[in-house]
Amino acid sequence: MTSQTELEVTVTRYRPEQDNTPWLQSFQVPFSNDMSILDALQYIKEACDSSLAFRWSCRMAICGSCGYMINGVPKLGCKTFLRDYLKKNGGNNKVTIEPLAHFPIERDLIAQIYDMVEKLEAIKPYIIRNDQEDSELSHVYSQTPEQMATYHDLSMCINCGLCYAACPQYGLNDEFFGPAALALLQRYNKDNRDQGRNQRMPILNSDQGVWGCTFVGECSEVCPKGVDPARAINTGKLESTVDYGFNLVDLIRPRRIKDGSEL
Amino acid sequence: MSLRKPYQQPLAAGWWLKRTAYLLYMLRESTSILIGLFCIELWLALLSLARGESSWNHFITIIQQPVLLIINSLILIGILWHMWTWFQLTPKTLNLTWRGKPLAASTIKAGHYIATALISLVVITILGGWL
Repeated sequence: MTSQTELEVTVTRYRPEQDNTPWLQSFQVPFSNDMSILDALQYIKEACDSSLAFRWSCRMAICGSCGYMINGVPKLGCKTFLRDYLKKNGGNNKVTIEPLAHFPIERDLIAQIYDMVEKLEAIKPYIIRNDQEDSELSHVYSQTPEQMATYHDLSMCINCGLCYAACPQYGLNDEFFGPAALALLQRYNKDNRDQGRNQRMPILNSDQGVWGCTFVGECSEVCPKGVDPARAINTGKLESTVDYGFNLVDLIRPRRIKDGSEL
Repeated sequence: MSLRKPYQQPLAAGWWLKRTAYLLYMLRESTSILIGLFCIELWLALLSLARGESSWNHFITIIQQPVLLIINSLILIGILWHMWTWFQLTPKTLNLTWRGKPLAASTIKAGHYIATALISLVVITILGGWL
């Protein structure tokens, strides 16, 4: 039996009760071919230092809990494998795992994502119906496969926050609604069962909405679920421009009421 | 007493040097400076044209200086780079469908190149004797 390969795994440590700034700590992790980054963190916690804190849950890219900066790139720990950092695969047998960029660090590898969650809630991510007789959604609103296809890819988001960690605009100004929230906004606006477009357009139209995006495009590159927020946001710029035109017409002709809904 | 003390991660001024994708993005955006310079040059050209023939001829001799020829070549490269990078992104900015199916990214990009070629042809034709 040959001696087992070991990888040097470096993790961010930040213990608020004793540290003022984060620091890096390295561990030797025995390599096996099926080992994910999350498995490596589990190994460190079980065999080296039980005080290491990190978030995880499902281990299969569904829950969105284990987002970290892995060698500087936002990735899911469960979906990224140690073998890709081996020398024979173009790496240098070293991996650095840090908390997601642009978010405050709560402890060690735990990023505080409240701000993103608040933004996700702010865009009203649910079906809104204006018809008074069915405010409790007692009907089944049927939808053709073609109608579903218009938003289906946008509904795959697992709120992992990788896109926020990849977005320099969010890093520079956290007032920006950011990729996931704006993609989710478009997901509901494109749903033909929804009638809440007028309530969401002011967010989409704002400076911190789609116009806060400068199309760096990295959100779509790092998304583990193929959501493509960059496309959702940048097609939204055209929609916002058209909406601006309609609003101008409405200003000029204030008596024209289209559907009685409040702006 | 809470021991929580969230650490705000600073964004270093050199963030765009850390990843190739960010560097290419900054390169793409910085071409707008060159385009701005060309707009100033175009405005000066119109101004000297409006002031009469001698003023125009003076302008022509100035922009034929080697330094300005080099700067203008850089501007042209910058504009072509800007055009190429922007056309690469256009499929993500337009939700176009044809007979119920979304248009292929290559079709949208090709459309932009064809439109650019046609408009350039019209401009060159109007400027006629010059080129």
